[in-house]
Amino acid sequence: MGDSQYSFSLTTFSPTGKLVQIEHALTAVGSGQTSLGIKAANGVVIATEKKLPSILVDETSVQKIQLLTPNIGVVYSGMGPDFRVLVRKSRKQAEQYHRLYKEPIPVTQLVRETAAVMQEFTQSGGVRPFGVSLLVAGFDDNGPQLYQVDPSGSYFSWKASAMGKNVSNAKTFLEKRYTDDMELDDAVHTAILTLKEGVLTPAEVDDYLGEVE
Amino acid sequence: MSRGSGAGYDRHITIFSPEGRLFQVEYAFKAVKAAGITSIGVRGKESVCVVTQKKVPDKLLDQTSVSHLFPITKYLGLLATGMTADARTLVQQARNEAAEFRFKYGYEMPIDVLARWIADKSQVYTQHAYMRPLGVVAMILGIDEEYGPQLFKCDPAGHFYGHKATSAGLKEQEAINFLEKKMKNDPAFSYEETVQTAISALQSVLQEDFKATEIEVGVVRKENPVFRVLSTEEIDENLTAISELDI
Repeated sequence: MGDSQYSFSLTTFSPTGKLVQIEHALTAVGSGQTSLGIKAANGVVIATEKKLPSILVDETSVQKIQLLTPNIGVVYSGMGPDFRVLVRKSRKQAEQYHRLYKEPIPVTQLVRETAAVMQEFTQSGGVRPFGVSLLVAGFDDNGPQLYQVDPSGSYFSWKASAMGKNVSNAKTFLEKRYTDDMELDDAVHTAILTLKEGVLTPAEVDDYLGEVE
Repeated sequence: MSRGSGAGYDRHITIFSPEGRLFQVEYAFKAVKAAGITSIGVRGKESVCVVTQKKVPDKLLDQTSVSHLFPITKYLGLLATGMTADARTLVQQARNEAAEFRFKYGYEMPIDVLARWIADKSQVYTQHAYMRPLGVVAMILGIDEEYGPQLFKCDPAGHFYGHKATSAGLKEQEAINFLEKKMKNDPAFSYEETVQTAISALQSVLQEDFKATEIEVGVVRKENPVFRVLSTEEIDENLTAISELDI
């Protein structure tokens, strides 16, 4: 990909063995709006802050949480435009799997393929890494699953995780509150509480709960 | 470890800076402001209106060739703020894309699909080193079959949002502050109110009263969803109406 003039990787090793562009990408993620996910016994919940730059923005035109397949959803922290690209690629991969095997793609496989794309952009010529971390939430034959994918292309399965601003507060709170036998309703409640802790004002929480009910 | 960005190229191509920023994208935003023009868009209950300054730098120039308002299809308009040459490229590609869409799928390209396409193209320029981001903010207007009047804004970073009202260019922030106050209670503007709010916002923010030849106005209306550029006479009528109302 890219012009032949740029047939060399822009992400190269520093003398200490670090890939500095990936570190910078992680910094970009860390200054993005907070998002989190919690895996419950019977489901997964993902949530995110949705602060728009002005009241003039039509909030119905913005959807930060997107569906990749009917049973897999994804949320991000970091750069919105980069997220759109990954959503589009992942949806296509899921659909190609379905066309070949006539069954919905398992969560782990979709995560692996998405992560592979992100890794490509850390090694290919003339491109920069994606400035997003993803939380992929899905339910398949292996039950509820939650994966976090980083700009480097590495991914881990989590019981609960957070990304973006206030990540340490959020994770501490999640560690305290998480139990292995949580029900989905509890998990949703905990997710909102966690966002509220560091992020939302009580009025914003009430607004959201009012809309949902 | 403060070795810095490696080779200092983070300012020259779209790679990350140590703080996780893309300097080239930020500079593209500055280029939009450097053009010295301010644009405003307002969405009403049944219409959308965009206004921009028409600065003709030389009296010898043919005024009709100086325009930032471009029809993309019969029903979709695009107001480009920033570098004119970049705007022309964008418009050319958008026109092609919209025409292909109509041919391939048999129905008009919806406005949010076009906005998303433009934004996705802009994102590619922020990720690939071989092309710089375009120094243009595009405001797209049209009447959607399902959602009614729509106004979208796409920027060099690849963001796009639908707006109730927005602004771009030199006095962007002042205009947004003005519009936030006007639209605070979710008013449902009629066609005349929409046009007059847009024009008076521009006048207020630039602190000058315009002549009809100094601004360009584009509209779409539910009752006539064709994208139309207002004639000098129509602009004059609206300017007179505003001065009488003393908004």
